[in-house]
Amino acid sequence: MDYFEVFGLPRQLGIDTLALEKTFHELSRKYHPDYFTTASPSEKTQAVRMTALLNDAYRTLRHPVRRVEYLLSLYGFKPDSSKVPQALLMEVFEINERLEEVKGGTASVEEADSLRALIKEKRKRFDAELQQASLEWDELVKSGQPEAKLNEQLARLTEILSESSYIRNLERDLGG
Amino acid sequence: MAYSDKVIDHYNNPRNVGSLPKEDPNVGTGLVGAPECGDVMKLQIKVNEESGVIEDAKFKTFGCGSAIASSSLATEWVKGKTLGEALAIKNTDIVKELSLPPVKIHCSVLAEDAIKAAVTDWKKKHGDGLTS
Ligand code: FES
Repeated sequence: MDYFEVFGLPRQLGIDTLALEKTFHELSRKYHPDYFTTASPSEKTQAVRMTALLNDAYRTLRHPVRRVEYLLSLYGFKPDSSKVPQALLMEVFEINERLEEVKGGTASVEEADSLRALIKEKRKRFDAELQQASLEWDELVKSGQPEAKLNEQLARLTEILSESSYIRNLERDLGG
Repeated sequence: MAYSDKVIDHYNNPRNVGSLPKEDPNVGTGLVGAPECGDVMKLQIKVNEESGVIEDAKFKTFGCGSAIASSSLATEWVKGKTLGEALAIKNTDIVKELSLPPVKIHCSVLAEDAIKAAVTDWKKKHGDGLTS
């Protein structure tokens, strides 16, 4: 059973997280060990297994980036280091070098501010791109497009996602 | 995670940190990144045009300890080698030398990729058909 199936959802990326949370609590109750005190050992194990699966599924699906990562993994797509665009690497490297100066205290206050603004801007653009591509995926699935079209979109999502960890690191290094 | 002594050593005293002039025709630059962790690595080589030997190498890595150690080791290893010999360095050699655990293998792959990218860049500057 994959994570979407756990929640009875189609393999789409637009997920109502409030509804997801509600279903999560309902299912958690359903599989709660308290209800299985008189059940057979195999039923008990099954319930424990479902609870674990449910928790993993919920943690993955409620997070918009992890959700995409998971969808891609279902189709065997994975960010590939040989496909990270050189321009992105150059930009990230340069920002890292500037960040190093800011952290080392040799940069001006203005420089620190402009770097912070730049990273914020990158995050915004990334979120918007991912959201847009996610919407497109849902449209393709809903309208029953052929596999070639779907694969194209999966490749696009993979490409966008390959930027995710770079932005996360920059944010981390900046100290939030 | 317990890093091996060799990783710690390279991490504390990285060899050949820095940059070579990117525009220098005898310098090849490799810039690579691992999307799974967001680490980036730059490795540069300075090649003697006549002998095809790598005379100098520098690196700069923004990443984990294993990535820093792998690239530091890579610069040590490529120095004095021909381009062909440098290309023969495999990430598994780095894993062995530094005793990297399985989760850190991709860090060594990054270093191998960086060597390859630097050599490719140098060759591009010199026309592809040159000695390797
Ligand atoms: S954790 Fe990614 S390069 Fe080491």
